[in-house]
Amino acid sequence: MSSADPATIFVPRDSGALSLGADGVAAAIAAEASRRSIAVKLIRTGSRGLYWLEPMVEVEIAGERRAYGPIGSADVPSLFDTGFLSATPGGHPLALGPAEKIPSLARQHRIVFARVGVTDPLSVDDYLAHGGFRGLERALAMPGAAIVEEVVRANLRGRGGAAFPAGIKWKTTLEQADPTKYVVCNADEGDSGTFADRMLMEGDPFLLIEGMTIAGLAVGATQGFIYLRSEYPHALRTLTAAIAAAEARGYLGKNVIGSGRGFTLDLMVGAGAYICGEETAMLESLEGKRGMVRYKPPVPAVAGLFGRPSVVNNVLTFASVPAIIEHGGEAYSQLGVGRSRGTIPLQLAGNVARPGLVEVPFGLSLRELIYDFGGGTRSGRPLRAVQVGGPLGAYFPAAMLDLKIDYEAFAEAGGMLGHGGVVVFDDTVDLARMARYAMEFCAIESCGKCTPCRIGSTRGAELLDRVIDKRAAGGAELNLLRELCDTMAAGSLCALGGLTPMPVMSALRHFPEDFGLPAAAARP
Amino acid sequence: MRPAPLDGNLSMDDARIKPLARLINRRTHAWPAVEDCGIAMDSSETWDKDAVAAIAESLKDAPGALLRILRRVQDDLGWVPPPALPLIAHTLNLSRAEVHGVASFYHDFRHTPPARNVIRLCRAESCQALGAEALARHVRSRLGVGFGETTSDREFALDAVYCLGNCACSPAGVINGQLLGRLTPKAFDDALESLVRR
Ligand SMILES: Cc1cc2nc3c(=O)[nH]c(=O)nc-3n(C[C@H](O)[C@H](O)[C@H](O)COP(=O)(O)O)c2cc1C
Ligand code: SF4
Ligand code: FES
Repeated sequence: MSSADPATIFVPRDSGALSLGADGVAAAIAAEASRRSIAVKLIRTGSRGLYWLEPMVEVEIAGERRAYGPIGSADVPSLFDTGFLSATPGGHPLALGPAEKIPSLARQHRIVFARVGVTDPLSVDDYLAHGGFRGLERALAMPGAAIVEEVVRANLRGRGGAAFPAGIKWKTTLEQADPTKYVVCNADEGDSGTFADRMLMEGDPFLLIEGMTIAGLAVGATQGFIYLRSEYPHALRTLTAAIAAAEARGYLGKNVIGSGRGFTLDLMVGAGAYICGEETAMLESLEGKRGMVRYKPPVPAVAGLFGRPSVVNNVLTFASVPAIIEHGGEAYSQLGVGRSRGTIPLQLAGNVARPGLVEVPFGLSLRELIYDFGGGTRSGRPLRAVQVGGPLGAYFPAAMLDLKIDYEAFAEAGGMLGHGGVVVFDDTVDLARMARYAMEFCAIESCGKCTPCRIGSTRGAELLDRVIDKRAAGGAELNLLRELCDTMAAGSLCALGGLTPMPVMSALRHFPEDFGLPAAAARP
Repeated sequence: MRPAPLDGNLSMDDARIKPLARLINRRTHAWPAVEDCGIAMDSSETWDKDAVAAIAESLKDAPGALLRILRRVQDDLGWVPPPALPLIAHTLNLSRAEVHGVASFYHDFRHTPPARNVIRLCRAESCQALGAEALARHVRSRLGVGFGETTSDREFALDAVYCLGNCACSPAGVINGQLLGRLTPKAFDDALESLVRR
């Protein structure tokens, strides 16, 4: 770098970083640079996902990005004082060294999140410079069936929760005769403890656009929809701008990169309803109606949005596709374990010292995730419980941390991986209260179609109130609770009513002492 | 503001009854609390009819028009005035009951005028794991209202929200649209202080 070039400084505009004051830091850097008459180039990025270090500032020197964090506005003058823009910085107490070498990042295998926190999310040129749109270029030269074949070969399973093979879904839609088909992205990300969709949409929106466009080419759809939850205003802003930028550069529109093939994207914002993450409720909502779950069949791949064949996938599922098409499904499928192939972006949250995004091949253990990446509990107290897979996921005790991140392993253990959210609790947690919360959440968010879900959840919360009041061993309440959970599991149309028993019963099974029963014998 | 008296010969199809019936059915079979009935109220509040008409007109041909219109009305006006629903129904050529049904389904739509300051606290698991319930107790006592309530001077409304996607910075909340992370009672008080001073 010649001394005339202004130094490049990167500050995240990810909403998590913003919630910790990143805008103030960016403003302080600009002000301090101008006060010292130093020319700087400030680029706002997504987040690397190392949230305990946010706001994390990076400086690019001689092709290397050096990181500092967590930085508050008040730290900014000292960054300048120690010469953080020079080739030989004087050492700052918050210096983290080269960003890529931060251990929690260096140990990851990032495919979907490779660019997040690195590039300017709204710069098409930056995206291209970091390998963007290569999957799309390849896809444009392939027949739809060949694209689908690569996705099948990759063994890519849906990342939204149900883990259904994406290729099979795409194949079904491809085979439909209807000339009008849709590609629909589920960006409702309602599961508590999850934020990977948000990070991706804020940090690398072109990747989602590219993945959806490839899906359109694969199945013969020229119109896509993104259903975005209203709690994500920053993702909305970024996506809106990214769609406009992609259109302006010919990556979206009537003639995608001069191929003569068209694909356009429309964004719709939800209105606060967890159930609208369920795919058929989401389709109803996209049609402007109440988010009521539909009976299946027909599946959306056959008759989805406005009755047309529709590919419905999660943000991360679509975002996994460009790399699969660029490098081939076989390469992707090399990663992972068992029937869980490729990488999974895990989200580490709750009471953990180093929360954030961890993208790794399937097969890591919960223990490695929570201790090696997460550094144990944030409070420093013993870990007591982990909930995996969102509000409908199971609670596991510390004795089960050797569980491997793998769809089948979790199902066998009575849980689910869901959208990859992992929430850690220390020993102050009361699992009877968490079980009650699960019932209450179901009552608040039920779409109302099935009685066991609509009424049962309220009864469940009342039952658990009595359990919490008494904590009396072997109470009749617990038998009623078990029966109620059986009824909900058996008599619910969708997984909201059907899986609410999972957090409840797993809490009861693994933490009976919180329900007034004798403590469980230590389990292997 | 009081609910309009539900007298006269009412059928279950009456637009004032339907949304209430839904509230009764959907959750607990119990009669809803008065504040939940907001949608059935005949509001004496003024609302910008021209703005709603313009929004409805501009979006009426979009796919899923009804939800888009309600969303925009909520975003622009800060609430979805119940008397605006017939106008939207008319523009879309839908029945009033259909429009009521959608407006009452989604948690985001307010049916009473907004407070000057809206505070939303996340009550989901990750935030609970880092003290969201203690924080909620603090906030409730500071504001003197519970979740879903507005102070009598309409200065503050407190809402519960279930995950803001900021779980890596729990506990999380939103004050007047601004997302906050690693909230503590002290940080909340400071934010409140700056609102009051403003
Ligand atoms: C109650 C409920 C909530 C759901 N929420 C979401 C969600 O927020 N995001 C999502 O992608 N999938 C969600 N799903 C799963 C979707 O129904 C569907 O399986 C998914 O969008 C398909 O995409 P995928 O195969 O790529 O995962 C939810 C399912 C249920 C039953
Ligand atoms: S289980 Fe609950 S949320 Fe799902 S369809 Fe039935 S009532 Fe609706
Ligand atoms: S659980 Fe509170 S922000 Fe996600």
